[in-house]
Amino acid sequence: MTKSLPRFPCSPLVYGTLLGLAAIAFEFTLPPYPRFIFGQFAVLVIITLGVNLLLGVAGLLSLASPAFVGIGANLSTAIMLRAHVPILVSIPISVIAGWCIGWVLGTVSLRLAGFYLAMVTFGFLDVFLVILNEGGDYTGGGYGLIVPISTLPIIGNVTLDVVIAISAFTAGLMIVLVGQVQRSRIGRAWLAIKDEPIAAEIQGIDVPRMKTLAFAVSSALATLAGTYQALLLGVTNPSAYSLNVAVAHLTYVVVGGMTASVVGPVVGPFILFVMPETFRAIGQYREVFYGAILLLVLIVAPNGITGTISDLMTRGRARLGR
Amino acid sequence: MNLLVGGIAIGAVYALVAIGLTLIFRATGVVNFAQGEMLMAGAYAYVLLTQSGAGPLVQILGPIALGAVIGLVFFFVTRILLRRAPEISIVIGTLAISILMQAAARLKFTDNPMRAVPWLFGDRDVSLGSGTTISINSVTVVVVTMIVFGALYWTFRRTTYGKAMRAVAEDPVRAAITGIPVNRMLALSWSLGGVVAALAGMLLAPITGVYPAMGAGVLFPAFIAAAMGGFESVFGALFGGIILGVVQTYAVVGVGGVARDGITFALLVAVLIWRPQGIFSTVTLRTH
Amino acid sequence: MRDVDVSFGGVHALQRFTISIEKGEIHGLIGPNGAGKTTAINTLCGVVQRQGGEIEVDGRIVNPRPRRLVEYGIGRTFQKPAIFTDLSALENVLVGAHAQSKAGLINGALSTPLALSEERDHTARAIDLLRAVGYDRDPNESAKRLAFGALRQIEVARTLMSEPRILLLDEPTAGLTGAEIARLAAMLRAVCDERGVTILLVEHNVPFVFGSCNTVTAMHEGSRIATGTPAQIRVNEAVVASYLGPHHGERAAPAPIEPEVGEVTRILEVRELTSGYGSTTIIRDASLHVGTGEIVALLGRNGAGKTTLLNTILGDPRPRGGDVVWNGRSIRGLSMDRIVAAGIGLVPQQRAIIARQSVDDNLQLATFGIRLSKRQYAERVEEMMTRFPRLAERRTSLGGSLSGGERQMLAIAKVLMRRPKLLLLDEPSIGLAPTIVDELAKIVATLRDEGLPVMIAEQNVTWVAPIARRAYLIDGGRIIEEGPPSVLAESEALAERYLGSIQA
Repeated sequence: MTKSLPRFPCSPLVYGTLLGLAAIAFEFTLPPYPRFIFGQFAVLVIITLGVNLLLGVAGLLSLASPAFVGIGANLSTAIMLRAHVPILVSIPISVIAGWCIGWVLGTVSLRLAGFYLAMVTFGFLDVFLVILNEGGDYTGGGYGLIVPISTLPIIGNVTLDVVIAISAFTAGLMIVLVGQVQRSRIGRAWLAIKDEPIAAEIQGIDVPRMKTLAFAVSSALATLAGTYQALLLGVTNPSAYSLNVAVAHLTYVVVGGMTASVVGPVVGPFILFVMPETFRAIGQYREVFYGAILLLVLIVAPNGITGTISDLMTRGRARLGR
Repeated sequence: MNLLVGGIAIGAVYALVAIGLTLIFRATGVVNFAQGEMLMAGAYAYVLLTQSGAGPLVQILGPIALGAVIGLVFFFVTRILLRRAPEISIVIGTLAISILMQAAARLKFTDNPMRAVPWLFGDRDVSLGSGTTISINSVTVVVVTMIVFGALYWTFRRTTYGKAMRAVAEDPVRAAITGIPVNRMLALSWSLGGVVAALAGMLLAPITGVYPAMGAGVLFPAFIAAAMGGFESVFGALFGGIILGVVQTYAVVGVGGVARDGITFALLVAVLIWRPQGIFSTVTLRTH
Repeated sequence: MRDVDVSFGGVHALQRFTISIEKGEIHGLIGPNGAGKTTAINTLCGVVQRQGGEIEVDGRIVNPRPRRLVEYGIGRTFQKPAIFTDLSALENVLVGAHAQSKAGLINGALSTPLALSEERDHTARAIDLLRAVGYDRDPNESAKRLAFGALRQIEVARTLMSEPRILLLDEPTAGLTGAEIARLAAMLRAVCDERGVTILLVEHNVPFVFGSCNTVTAMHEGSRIATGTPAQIRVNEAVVASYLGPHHGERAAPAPIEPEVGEVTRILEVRELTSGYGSTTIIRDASLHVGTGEIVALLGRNGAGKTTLLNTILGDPRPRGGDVVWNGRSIRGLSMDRIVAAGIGLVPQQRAIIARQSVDDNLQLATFGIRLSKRQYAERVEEMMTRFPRLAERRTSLGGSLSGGERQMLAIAKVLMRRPKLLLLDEPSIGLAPTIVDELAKIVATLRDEGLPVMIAEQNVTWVAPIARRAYLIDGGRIIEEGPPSVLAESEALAERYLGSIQA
């Protein structure tokens, strides 16, 4: 898969918009409950794009993704409740906050790698949960907040359908944009840092800056997804941001494939979220299911689905080429 | 006074888990995210055995044996099954196992804590005169931890197997060339880690009750304690754990529950940034 | 006119090392193993801290950090090509232009004209460079499966993308075939002449250096011992001595009387062995044998494949072709501990001693898995103490605190504790003072007299020649010659292999 920028006849924004619109069109054809699931799926895709960027492309293992989802959900809701502003204001503010906090987290973790990094990010998640639980009125304590109805110009009230459409559109757009970034010089730099950090440095890559950038982008994506999730569910739910959720996010990435492909972040949540949803019996076995699948994939196909496919293609091409 | 002893007791548990983490990491290079769940398994075994009326010897040896077996299973998964996987995946792998174990426990036992009877001496408090009392159980915990630490110290310094494990931990290639069966030593190290975790579980059980998430709550402080030892020095882990336990206990009482996690996190960041090789380690930092 | 002027002191491996490189030349840095060549490059790159001394580029004093190298116009390759395996060949080279690009996150995401035009320009230049270094495969091929030679080419191309003025190459011929080496020489010449790049290369392959460099600096034990044209260095006595051992060319001391051995049974046979690591083949069709009561020498320069050959005999790496026969049975494919258990003992180049445990502990661990009664164990330890009096004095010292000579003794003692039936020594004389090497020679001869066959892989011919009965010369992974060591040592062939012919 080439990773130099492909020659689009027009801007990726156009392609992104088209994909987004296609997503909307698709979800419109679904009956109400599956549509709701699709909305959640879209949210997960956005999150997974971010986690994949951090882990699969830049090689940084972070357990903080649920924290940023939570930041998005709680911050935007809190702002809406307190300052009575519409989502057009609360969402961008939250995303910017997520970006900045992600940047800071990245800076703190610069000298760490592997499990040390995992632990520090886990600590961050821990602290976030404590803040959430003890936040009293600001965060709804242990119970969460109820998300108020907001309005958008032209469309009017932001109903569930509207939120689903927005989520779907954003997911489509982000798939294209994130894919672009990963194919650009920045993406190459991230992959270089992941493979051979010393050589990357010697080639002139500003490694610290790239790492913090990866953190910032990944966090911003998760935060955005968080704002959507709050709107989707109508409430913020403090128990939704736990280590188990972080592991779930990692599982989406590992199963999808820890590569620079954008197909992985779509395939992962599809297999692990959408499919079980259609087999409700899994219900309480969900965690066992996740743990088991994660382990299985690590053992059998350590490069995930897209990774294994790309390996097979490379091998196939090599054999044909001879 | 009771507070202090209580703090030391909790710290001792952290220390035990940290020692397990250090042992395993030093020998195998793997950070075991599921160490807390090994603890949990040991705790459940202990509780079930006591409730089933088994003799005191079985009550204690049973969980230990279970810990050893679990350690071996982990060895098998990380070394054999995950051989081809990149390093980060092994870390994620232990994470996966931890989730699996917790979920399985939740399914089987639900989240309700089970009460456990403390070792040997029961739940009594002992008066030290002038109105201060300490819980016997806390003392037991500390004493056992010290014994374990001493036993490990002796094993690693004096026995051939201990020395062989250290050799493998230092440099597996050189150890292999001198004829030491590396895989066997790694399996042994994992087993030992499992045993230590199970012991910690038995000790923690009377203090907090037994429930699926009990290990997770201990893992983070244990990790910090291990980090203070640079994941290298067992003594550092011991020391770090106890200090952490005491600090946390006083922090909770003094400032409130919020502070506890905040302080813990701050400590972790401080250690990792300021002295990543650990406070007690004389080794230069491993690039991981 | 000076381009790079370097002098450091006091880095552990470098002692007041000084080198001066002229603009536009290809400068070779040679020296035997452990001389400090790679440390010199690492110090130049700021990867290793230096204490004292200074580095001047173009008259300006600089303090290199890895991050600033591109700014200073310095590019560097590694012994093992540092290729980004997640990227294709073309993408690898494109990374070289990273510092020159301005397109950032937004530009990348939106494929702005700026990003697109930069990509276009860089891609064109990258493809050009790939061609210039001789890369003839599909640029979009993933780097994961490429052969060593191709990786080497990509690495050079990538480094050239950042348009350095100075190129530092760390052992560029390592792992390359003869043809690839020739191409490399031509490529370096072209890069230097056409692009005006000054090149400093560090190499073990001395003939290559003599053939492709304008100036050569020779190092030994952390300092420079000579600088000059290849012709001058080739005949410089100090240089020759550093490689071949002192007194090369003089008559070696009369050989100790070798005991009359009757029919020699071959206990180890290596037949057309081929092996290597990863995608590289290092040993090619090597055949040799060792018989009872013999000391056999395996001579060759650094990088010739001696260590790989010994390691293959021991089981890691596994042989890819050919066979290893021990006492009539093939041991090809057995795991290392089985081969060790079968009686082959290797004392590796890096002296596998456990640094954090004492001499006694090391010896104890050496018998791991062997059942010995207390008496037997004590006897063996006593034997080692008698053989190696130096160790007896340092029994409780930690392995890490022993001197080089003592470590070597300990390493040998450890293997002897298992009473092997064949002893393999990998470059035992490295880093040892001549008097200790003499002691070593006596010890090995004694072992042979007691009936233990020994194979010694060595660069330094002089000390092995008197005690070995036969010798093989290995180069490029192949056994080139076989014969009595004294003949081999005198032969021009040997010197040629090491240093290249004088007319080169």
